[in-house]
Amino acid sequence: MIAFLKRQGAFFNPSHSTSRPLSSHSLMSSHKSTSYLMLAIAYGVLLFTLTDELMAWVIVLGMCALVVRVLVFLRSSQLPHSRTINLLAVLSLFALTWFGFSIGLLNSMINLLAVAFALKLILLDSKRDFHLLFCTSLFLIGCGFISALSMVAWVGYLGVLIFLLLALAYYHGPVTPFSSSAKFVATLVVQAIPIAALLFLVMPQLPPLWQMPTSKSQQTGLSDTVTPGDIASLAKSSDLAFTATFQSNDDIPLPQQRYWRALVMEDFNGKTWSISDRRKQAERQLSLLQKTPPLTQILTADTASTTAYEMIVEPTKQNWLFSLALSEPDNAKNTIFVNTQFDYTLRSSTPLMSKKSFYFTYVPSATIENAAGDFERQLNSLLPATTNEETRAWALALKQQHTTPTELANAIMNYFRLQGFTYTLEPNAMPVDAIDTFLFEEKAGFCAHYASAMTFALRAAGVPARMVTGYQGGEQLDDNVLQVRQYDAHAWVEALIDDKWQRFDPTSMVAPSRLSFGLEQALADFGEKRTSGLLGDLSEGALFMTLQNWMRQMDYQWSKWILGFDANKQKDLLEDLLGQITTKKMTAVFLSSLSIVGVILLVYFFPIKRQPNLPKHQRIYRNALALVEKRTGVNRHHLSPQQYLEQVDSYLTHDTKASLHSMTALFNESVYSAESDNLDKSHLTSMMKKHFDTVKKSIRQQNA
Amino acid sequence: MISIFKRTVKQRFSHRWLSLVTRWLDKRIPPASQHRLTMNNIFVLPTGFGWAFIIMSLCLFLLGTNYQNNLMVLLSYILLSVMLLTLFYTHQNFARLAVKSMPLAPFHCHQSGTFYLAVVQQDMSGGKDNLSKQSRGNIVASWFGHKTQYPFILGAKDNGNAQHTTQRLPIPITHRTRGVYTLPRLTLACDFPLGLYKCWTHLDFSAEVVVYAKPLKGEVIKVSASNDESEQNTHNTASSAQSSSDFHSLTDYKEGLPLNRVVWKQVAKSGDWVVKEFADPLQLKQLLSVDANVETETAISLLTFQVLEQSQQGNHFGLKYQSIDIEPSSGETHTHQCLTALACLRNTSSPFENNAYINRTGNNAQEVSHTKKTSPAKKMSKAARS
Repeated sequence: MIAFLKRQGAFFNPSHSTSRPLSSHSLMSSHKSTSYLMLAIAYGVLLFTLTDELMAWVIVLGMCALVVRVLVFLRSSQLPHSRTINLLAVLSLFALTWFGFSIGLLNSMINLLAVAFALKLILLDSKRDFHLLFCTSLFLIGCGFISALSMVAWVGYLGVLIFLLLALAYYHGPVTPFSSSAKFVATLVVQAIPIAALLFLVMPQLPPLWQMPTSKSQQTGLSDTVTPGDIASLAKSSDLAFTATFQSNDDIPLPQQRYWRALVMEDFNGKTWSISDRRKQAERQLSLLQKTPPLTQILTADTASTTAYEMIVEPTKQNWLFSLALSEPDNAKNTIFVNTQFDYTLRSSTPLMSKKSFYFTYVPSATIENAAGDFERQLNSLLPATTNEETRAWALALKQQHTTPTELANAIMNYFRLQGFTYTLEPNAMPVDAIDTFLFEEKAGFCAHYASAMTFALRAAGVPARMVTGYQGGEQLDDNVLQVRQYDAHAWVEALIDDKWQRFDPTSMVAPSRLSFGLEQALADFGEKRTSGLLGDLSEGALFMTLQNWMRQMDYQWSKWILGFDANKQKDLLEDLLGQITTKKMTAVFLSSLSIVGVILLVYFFPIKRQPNLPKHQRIYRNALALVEKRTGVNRHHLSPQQYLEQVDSYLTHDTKASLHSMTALFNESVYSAESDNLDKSHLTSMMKKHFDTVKKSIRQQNA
Repeated sequence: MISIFKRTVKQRFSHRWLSLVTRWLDKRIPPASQHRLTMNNIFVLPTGFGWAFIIMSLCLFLLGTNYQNNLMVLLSYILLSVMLLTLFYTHQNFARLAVKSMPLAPFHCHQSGTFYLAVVQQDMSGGKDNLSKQSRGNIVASWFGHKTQYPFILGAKDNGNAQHTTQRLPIPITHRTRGVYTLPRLTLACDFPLGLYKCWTHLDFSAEVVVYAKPLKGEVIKVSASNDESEQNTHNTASSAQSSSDFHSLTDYKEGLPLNRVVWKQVAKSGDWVVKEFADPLQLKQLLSVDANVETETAISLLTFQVLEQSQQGNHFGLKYQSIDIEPSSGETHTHQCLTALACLRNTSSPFENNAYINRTGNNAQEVSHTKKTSPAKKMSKAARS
């Protein structure tokens, strides 16, 4: 920083002559090298925000480039030879092609861009290259938004953009001091934001024009396989899964009914539950036959007690979606088409790469029918051979005691309730015959254990059953907004009874508070905590809670209005403002927004000249003179008050003249008299005002 | 063969185009010795970088649309707004200038002259912070139709004097042939503040410049004007003034002058040291001329050198060569008259031709090249000769 200031000082050394034709290259180069360094710093910051996309060696290369730039700036040392860089470029190209296949097309492109930037940055020494790198860094900012969508990320990237613009302004203003460049860029961005916001509001929100490559980054959220023995990793995460917005508070279902159904696991290999391959095949066939999935027909069955709601889903990079059981997607409003399947689950037509809004209609009374006849019954009666013998025997024994499947299921639920089962996120490992161990020895686990054991027992007793995963619960953010986090992930059981799939939640038998009050409360009942450590204690403080709530609110509004702003919301907003949308109105909207931009530009560049800040009595005097000028047609120009008064004397009536004379006297006294500072300002003003009124009145009479 | 044909067509086309543009410019920005830069005489277009910036914004818009990513779309809107606003800032910055041409000193065609352009900051704000409302940035001057650019820094502080609002830009000008020329239009361009737009103007200052012939040392004929034609004397150019001559005037004594010239009467009377000045009447009134069978250009060069020489020595001299007939006299105006007459003598290009060619050639050693692009200029000069 000190070095920087020194350079500034040296730059304004008065020994430099003004209008020398630019022979003094050293003079320019200070500004140039500072701009180069700023560009390099912006690049460094961008690299660190793109750690998900970039490979480690690319970041190292970028940092090397940054170090080279800093050295060049500090010691004005020589740039590396271009032959060295070419060699480095060839090596990097090999590395990129080598790794390119494993990281996917999009990420390889970003990596390529970052590598090219780093290599060019080392050699940067011309205006052209500077401009090239500036444009590239703009693109890198854009790439950053592929994965970072929060408000913080937006503000951060805006900061980087401002910094880049500052580097540009500094480069092009060879004698402009740093502070005035900074002031200019700040003004520019502040002025640009309203125009950009207006464009954002009225420009048509287009659907995707073509399919873009997606990054092969980590998928988040629910997984499509469940192994009960695994540690419940999702429960550790308090990341947001989705936000559901209802029309009013009354529409929100009770906590016990908030089952967000996502995946149906019908295949069990003795250890892991997964989506059956046969199911996938069947779905493909059924869609080829163009059969209508039953979920699309639940709405026609009952329209009375339905609830429309909107979900803002965090990016999962996967296809499956979740909804309140059961809900029909409102594809007329959805920007991404949602397919329904015969197991009543939902799939989006493209993976969710960014936060997206989905619209659903919740039908509480709908039931899950056996949609595929014997196929489902068969699929859900299969058991892997020779595992968990004890459970099989137990299930058969239960079957003997209970005649109907409902009774049987209730018996299993009761078993969980009565046999001293506990709810824990950290159960012991059960490597062999996990269900036997769980049911008869450990008797401790979380939702996946209970659901898995019960499904297995039901199947063993001859009742078709399957495991369903999704989310259960949700925290109320607002009157009508529910937020569901990753730790709300849940698993339950569906059994085919009377050709209908009925829901059984064995976890509710063990930890009833899990349904009503959420995971934290359920764990607290069993003396456990979801998270441990310093932050865990801190999070219970009232201040922290308020702060957190505030942050969540902000994030929600951000997601709803900025990230989730789509053609639909745009239409709603315009309809709220203008009523029914017609072509004529839309034309008017576009024209008026254009003119608004014009007005904004007018305000920015042709500001109204404000009157100099005079005391009030002087302003009144000036106004009176203006009236007189208008009446008499004699302009004052730069005559003194007394001279002017003499000039217009003959034109005025007696009243006007008298008032004007006393006003002039007052004015002269207030401005020129020695004790002008001691005058009573308010008295003066009121006197002036009184005379002004008289002048005004008499002149008006004269006019009439 | 075809390529030659193509080239001539191209030349013809470009020549026609140039004349069209010149005519339009004459209507649009009429010649004047000073110009205020306003909406009417400024042109603004995005630079190459500006276009790249726009394309980048559109790419971000497409990317954002395809990923359905509103943040990217918003970023592209912000960039486009910045582009829009910069248009106004660039114009505003440039339109604060007023420029005025300074009188242009004549120069020899082997040298480069300097055209001084006074750049004044028009005080628009009227407020106290007019310093921050000054035009800034790099201003690039070039002669219309010529590639060579002369960059200057606007608003550089002059010797610490903050209130200095007038700047003098020295713009080099060269010409290969002697004569009197009207200056071509001067192009001023500026890309402040972000380099996204280029603001430029083509100004005609309706200034004339006299380009003297190149001096050449050699023998000329000096004819005594008082004597008749027969008494011709060939002098060496290096001949010095002689002391045996008529009394001419009295001047102040300077150290080193011979003491026998001091007017002692005057010293005794008033104490002032005064010396007698003598002048040679023969040398006083001589006409310079060159033998008729010497090539004209060489003759002019020889005479130019001699005029400069005589003028430096303070002699009285006249010119008689071909159509030039100037009575002997002395002084700066006279010298200028002689040199101008020589410059204009039987010039291949008419003296008041509108389209003067400012050429840059490699053999001009005094010239400092500011850009690397001298070769296109050279080509142009060749084209002009043919």
